[in-house]
Amino acid sequence: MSLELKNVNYTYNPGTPMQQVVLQDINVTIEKGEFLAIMGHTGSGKSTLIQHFNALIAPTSGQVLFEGQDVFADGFDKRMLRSRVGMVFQYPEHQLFEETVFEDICFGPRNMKLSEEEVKARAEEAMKLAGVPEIFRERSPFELSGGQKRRVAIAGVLAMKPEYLILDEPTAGLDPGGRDEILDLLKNLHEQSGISIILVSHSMEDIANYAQRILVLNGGRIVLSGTPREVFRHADELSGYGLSVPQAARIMHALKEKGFDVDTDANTVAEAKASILAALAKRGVNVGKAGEADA
Amino acid sequence: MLKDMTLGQYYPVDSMVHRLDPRTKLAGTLLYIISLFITNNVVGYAIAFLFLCLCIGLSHVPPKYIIKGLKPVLVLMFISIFFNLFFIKGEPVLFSWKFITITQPGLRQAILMAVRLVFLISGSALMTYTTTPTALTDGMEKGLGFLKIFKVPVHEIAMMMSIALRFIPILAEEADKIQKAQTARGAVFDEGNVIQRAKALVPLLVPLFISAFRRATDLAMAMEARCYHGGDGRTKMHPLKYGRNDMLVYAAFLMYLALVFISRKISIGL
Amino acid sequence: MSSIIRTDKLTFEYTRKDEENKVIDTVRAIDEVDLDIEKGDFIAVLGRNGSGKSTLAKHINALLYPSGGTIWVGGMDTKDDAHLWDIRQTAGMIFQNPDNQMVASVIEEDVGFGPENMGVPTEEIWKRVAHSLEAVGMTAYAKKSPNHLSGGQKQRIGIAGVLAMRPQCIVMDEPTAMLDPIGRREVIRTVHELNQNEHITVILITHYMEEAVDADHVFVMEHGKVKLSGTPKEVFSRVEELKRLNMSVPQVTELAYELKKSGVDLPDGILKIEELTEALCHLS
Repeated sequence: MSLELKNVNYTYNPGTPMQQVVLQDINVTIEKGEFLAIMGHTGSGKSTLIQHFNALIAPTSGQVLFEGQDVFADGFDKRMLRSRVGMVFQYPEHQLFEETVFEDICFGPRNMKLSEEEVKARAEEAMKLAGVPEIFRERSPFELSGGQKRRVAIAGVLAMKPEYLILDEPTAGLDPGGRDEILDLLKNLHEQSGISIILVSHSMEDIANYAQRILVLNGGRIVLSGTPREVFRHADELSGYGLSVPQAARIMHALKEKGFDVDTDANTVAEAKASILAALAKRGVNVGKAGEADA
Repeated sequence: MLKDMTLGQYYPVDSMVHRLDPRTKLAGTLLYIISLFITNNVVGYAIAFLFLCLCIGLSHVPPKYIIKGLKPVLVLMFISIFFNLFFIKGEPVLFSWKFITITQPGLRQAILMAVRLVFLISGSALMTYTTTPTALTDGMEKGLGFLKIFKVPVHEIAMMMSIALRFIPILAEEADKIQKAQTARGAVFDEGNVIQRAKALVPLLVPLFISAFRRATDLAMAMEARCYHGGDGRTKMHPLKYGRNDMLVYAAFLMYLALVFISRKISIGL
Repeated sequence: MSSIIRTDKLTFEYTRKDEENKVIDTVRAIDEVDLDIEKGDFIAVLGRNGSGKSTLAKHINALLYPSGGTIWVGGMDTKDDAHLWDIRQTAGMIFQNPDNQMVASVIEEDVGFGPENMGVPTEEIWKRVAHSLEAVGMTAYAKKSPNHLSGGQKQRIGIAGVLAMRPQCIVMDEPTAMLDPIGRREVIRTVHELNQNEHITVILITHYMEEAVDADHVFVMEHGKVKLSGTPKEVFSRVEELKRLNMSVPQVTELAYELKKSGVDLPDGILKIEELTEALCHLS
């Protein structure tokens, strides 16, 4: 059970003077149940890449395989694919259009030609899953705040019961509180509902906290791939791609240079804290009430 | 689709035609179009053709770009040829088979109309190739300024035009994104009968309109913040001023018009 | 030092109405705020969405008028209509979406839009446009269309457009919210340069705390009130309070705070990596 891009190349406007190679030789397999993050600066090809996963863009050469089947083969049911590989675009404003929140969430399942009862039941469930408050049900989606609109947009895709959920910068433009809420929602969907999450994000700190695996894209190629620990080891290389590592990792590197025996793979505040406390203890520094606080 | 539009596209080179005042080019194009409707024989068209070639030559715009600009009107041209060729009655009949009759006046009219259309589009295309959209709106604003006494909001119309030009590519891109977002939710835009297709557009048009209104509100506020308060007291980065070349061009156009008029009196039997 | 923006019990209320045009409730977006911003300062205003920071920004540009209290911009009361254009020229404004603040299809023409509106003579406009584009490092793009620029570049063009109006103060309403990390750095660096080289007062509204680290003064708003105010060091040493106000604290500040909680003897308000490593070295 997997979603796979095999030797995918994508060229924009091929055969014209405007020709532009966007993706080159992409090979990715996403297993069911994964939490994958894709990072890369603007123009690295990440938006084009994710649109291949649910057949919104056809590769110039290469294959997109869903459970081993070529999604661009004749007779392949793309509508089925799009319900099983859900995609939430960056701005919820691009998909909300119905008069009420509930009707908007019904749009996806209705396109699947399900019975009206099934449509409603799914919308109901998706609202709960995405944490859309009950009082919003009859409201217009356009009256909601940025964070709430995003929840409704996610619910609209969840109502199709996807096994994979792709999200393009789902936290862009939200304030820190709103951002944490959306990321926690994704974490819950991943852990409790077993949905594979594919997250495109600029925020290294968010990626370090949530993703199991990272793909780094630069100039249309996959240049790094691995766990957050593995990828964030390449701080210099990443900065060459216009990306950075989480600040926690930079702190650990700076401390290492100063002779502290710390874990340079620590990427989150919690990991960094534990490692620094251990290093200080080794040096015999008295850290007062350490251990009794929150060890 | 919007990307293929040649009309309104600017070909960035430096030439004498590019440097002309936009009002000169607007008036020139208008005069040229009028001349095409005055002409009624081959001599006139030959003069019009030579004059067009002269202008294209001076503009440094490659002729193949002018020809490319004709593509969108090909269909219109064929329809015009078709109707003139088969439906104009008269003598002598050149060709007749079952219900199809082609007469000499029909053939003549078909050719002349097609040529007229080609010249008309080429002339207008030359203007847009050599004039930036901003210069064009500036030219219209100043050239049509006299309409203000009839309470026509000339400045506002010109401002609207230039803002529309700025936002067409942005909204086209946005429409593409919305279409993809809805396709990802299982929407289908190219199936079913006319009514079903029209209905399928609702999930596309609603977000597009809402976005356009939101952009309009934002833009209005940003313009106000930058002290925009209509055309009164505004200065220009590119104030329009007629130069020696503009006068020359106006003179050339008058001579050309005179020639076209004279050509009407010439009859060489066609 | 003289003040450029001063408010006295500035209040802004608006009413929400239902479909039958009946008033449902009254919202106080700004609640008796007293501010005094000195010329040449770099001010950061933090706060979550809906805390009143954008409403405050629009008052500085006379796009909104107070329903109570007074705001003076460069000594002028914004309620005085006679000074409307002077006020807008004194305090320029940058908005969140860079696309929605550009009028012209050629970059230099967009930068010249403000001076054109002000009736500046043509030659002077060209001088200002050239200078403004240089100040934001976008001279090479003068004749290009804005459609192919990155978000950060577009926002810098927006700044050049305001700069060409020769303002004393620039108010930026979440200018980086829609940008990627590179674009955000670009814009923040540009405004710091303007603040230092051109002595322009900057009021930066943001919810990214790392953008406020180098400010002279920070205000944190909630429910229309200024909840915290002081130098970045003073404000950022109150990590718990900031988190409660839904602010993202830079990881280094949070880490220092956490270590301190566990008994490590660190100073308050650590904002930069070097400060933390320095302090830790000092311990051993």
